[in-house]
Amino acid sequence: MAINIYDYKHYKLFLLIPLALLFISLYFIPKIQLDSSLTGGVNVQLTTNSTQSIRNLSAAIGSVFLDTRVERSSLSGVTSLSVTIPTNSSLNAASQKLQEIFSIYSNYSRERLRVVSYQGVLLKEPNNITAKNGLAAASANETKWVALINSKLISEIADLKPLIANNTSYNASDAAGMQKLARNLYANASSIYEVHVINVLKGIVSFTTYSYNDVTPTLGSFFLTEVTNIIIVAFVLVAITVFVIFRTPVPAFAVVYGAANDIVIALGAMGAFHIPLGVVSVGGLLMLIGYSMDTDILSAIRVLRRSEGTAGERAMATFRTGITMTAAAMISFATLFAIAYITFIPEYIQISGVVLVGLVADIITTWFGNAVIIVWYKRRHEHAH
Amino acid sequence: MHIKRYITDRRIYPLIMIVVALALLDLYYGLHLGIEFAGGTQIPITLVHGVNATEMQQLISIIDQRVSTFGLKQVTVEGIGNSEIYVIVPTVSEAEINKTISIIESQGAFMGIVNGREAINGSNILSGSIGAAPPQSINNTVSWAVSFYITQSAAQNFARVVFGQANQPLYMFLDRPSDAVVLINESVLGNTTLGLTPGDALSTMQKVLAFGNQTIQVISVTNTNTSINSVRAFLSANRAKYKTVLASYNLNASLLAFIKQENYTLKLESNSNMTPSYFKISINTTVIDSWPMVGLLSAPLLNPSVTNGSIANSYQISGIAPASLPKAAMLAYAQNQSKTIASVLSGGALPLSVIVGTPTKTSPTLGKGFLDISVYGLVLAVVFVSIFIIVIYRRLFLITPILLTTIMELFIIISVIGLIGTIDVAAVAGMIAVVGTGVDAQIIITDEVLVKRELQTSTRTLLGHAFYIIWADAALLTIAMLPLLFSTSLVDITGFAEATIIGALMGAFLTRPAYGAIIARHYGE
Repeated sequence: MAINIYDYKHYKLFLLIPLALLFISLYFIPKIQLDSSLTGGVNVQLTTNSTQSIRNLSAAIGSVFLDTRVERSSLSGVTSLSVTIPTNSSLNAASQKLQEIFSIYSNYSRERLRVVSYQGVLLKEPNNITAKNGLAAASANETKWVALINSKLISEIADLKPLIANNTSYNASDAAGMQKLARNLYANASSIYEVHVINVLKGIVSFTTYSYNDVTPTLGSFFLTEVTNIIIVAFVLVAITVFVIFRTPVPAFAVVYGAANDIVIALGAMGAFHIPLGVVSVGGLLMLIGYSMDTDILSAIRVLRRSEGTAGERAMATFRTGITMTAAAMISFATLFAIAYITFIPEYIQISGVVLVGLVADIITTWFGNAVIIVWYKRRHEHAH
Repeated sequence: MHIKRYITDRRIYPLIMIVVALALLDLYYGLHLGIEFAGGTQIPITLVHGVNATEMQQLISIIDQRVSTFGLKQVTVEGIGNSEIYVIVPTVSEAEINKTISIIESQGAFMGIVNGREAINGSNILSGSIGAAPPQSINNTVSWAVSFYITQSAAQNFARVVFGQANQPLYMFLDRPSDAVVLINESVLGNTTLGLTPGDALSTMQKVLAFGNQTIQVISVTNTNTSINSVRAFLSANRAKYKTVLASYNLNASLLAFIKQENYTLKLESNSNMTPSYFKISINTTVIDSWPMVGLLSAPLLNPSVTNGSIANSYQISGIAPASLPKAAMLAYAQNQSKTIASVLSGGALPLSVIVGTPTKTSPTLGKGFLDISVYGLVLAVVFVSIFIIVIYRRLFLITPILLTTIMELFIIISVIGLIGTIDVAAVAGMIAVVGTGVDAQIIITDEVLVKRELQTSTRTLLGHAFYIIWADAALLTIAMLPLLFSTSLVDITGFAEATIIGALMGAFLTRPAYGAIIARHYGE
């Protein structure tokens, strides 16, 4: 007969293992690296025949773009590189000015409309005092908005100086013209920057095909809040459903605790092992809720609702089934992780990385945490009767 | 063998039917691949301020309509949250991307022509002054109106051009073609319901297209040699004057070849595009009120009050919905009409300013590489997991049901997503996850049936135990994925949620019962 860990006298002490992992993970969570989809920035992916080492490449690229992250993988002589460069501060500042110019312009057109309609009234009744006063006020406002657009445009041009030679001349009283110029300057500067980035990279490694992805910091932080919200909402919905299924607080709590612990440990492991968190990671984290439920529910139902053998024996039998299940899931994600790591597809690395560390955490949480609580609960219940 | 017994099992044959049906649909319609696999470009558009869901829907449909009318095929427009839109085009050509961007940014050119002279154009209208009033309903008539302001100099020009043109149409064009000739097949010219002869129709069309030296020539063509030769002679003689030929698609083939040979840009138009919509204003007079081929979108009649030489800054275009329509349809007609006019006047402009960001490009070669790798990944995951199961249970029989159910599950997900959505990197990752959950369920079933058979319980009861757990798991996974499925911002990865939810539901109701049936028939029942 094999050893049954649930028949060990002090089996309740096992609970300390997942709890310890939980606290260690909490320490590492703040160290999680966000990728460019969440922080904003430029990501270039390219394939090259170059055989330079990652250290040389990082140093060469990093000497031009500070805080650049380079990741490299190779398969049958073809090397794939992923270069992540922080957002260009000039472009970022200019994009904020551009947004402001657009909103000022809508104020301007409202005043412009007032000016014209008062002019129309005055044409018919030249002595209408209300219209005269209205016209004066509207004209003053109109001038104010045009001046504001001009000052924003001047500072946008100043922001973009590093990218665009400053020989832009324009009519400072033509609001529509200035708005259009502001937009064109920003678009030109963005594409000049793209060409610059690609040229710098071409000077370091040779490549022909590439993919260029630019995420603005505001969009990145918006995505981060969305990712957080989605995970919280999903977790709450699942927790409610679990309580509906079990209708008894302790087992339901054990199942929900299992899932929460897995996610926290997975996040901590991402911080500790430098697995970047990106928009795609949310898929992996939600999947983790699913996988963790699989084994938690299996152990809870088998231990609580069956009658053959003792609670400990049922838990141990379920342990074998559960480990087989988790191992099978790990095999499918390990395949994806290995392939993505060799051929370098960051989306797959992020998703499978999260799920893999989460599944390791799940084995510990389920069988030393969740199952222990369930067995303990069942035994107390049996004693009571 | 007992294959027939398996196939006729009511837990197995629905699965087979569904797989066959999906296979036929796949062959007929083909599967859609995302730009990560097929190659393409994603253009982000930032709105200057947030909008609500209705406004977002409206913006998406305007952008969608605009890029599709310019002949860009398979463009996807997606809203991200409340202030961002992605336009996805299946190309990486710099020229095509720039064209798309300029179409999104640009506004159309509006021009109003009265009696062959320009009365007003888009730059005369003060931006933001165009207002469509809600339809007015008085005594069974429903009227609509759009008002706008024009600049002082434009007002003078307008007054001069429309002087004495009471009750004449103001032809409102959006992007009226320049340097163009229309060749129309005589057989589609007349209109018998309105009693219009081909000759009448031609002269009505010429009135619409007249505009000084920018007049669009319209020529009626028959299949006789005389007619074809005279068209040839006209086109050769006017090579310097015209650049584009808009022609009925069913014209004589040699004539069409000649047009191309002469280096004209040839645009073939269907009969329905060629035929304008006529409107009878009096017993003897019929006018054309819309003709999309040449950009004529509306032709309101000039009210006598504006044609007496007086100058005004504000104008109103108004009309009455046809009395023949039921009340609700009249309101809808009026609403639609004022919206159309307002949008034509503003050059089809977007209701708010947008900033076009840097496009993200994926080259088709890179995409093909991603696709190959993803397929290898899926195949290898299935192979490794199957080997693992057989090693654990040491029963070779299991290989057939495990492979069959897993492959069918994947096939159903690939078909459903590829037919109604897009297969992207996130969807493939979701499929790998489904391989995992699917096998988990198979393990639960196999364990119950094989390991616990010693307990002398009936197979039916054992399967019941297993499916209670499987259904609970499937329900929880689906619920966990719902927030992601309905997320309007993380659209790049909703494919993951789609794949796992389809996998969980198909698994719970189709493939896992089928697996259970096979196991039960082989080892029990």
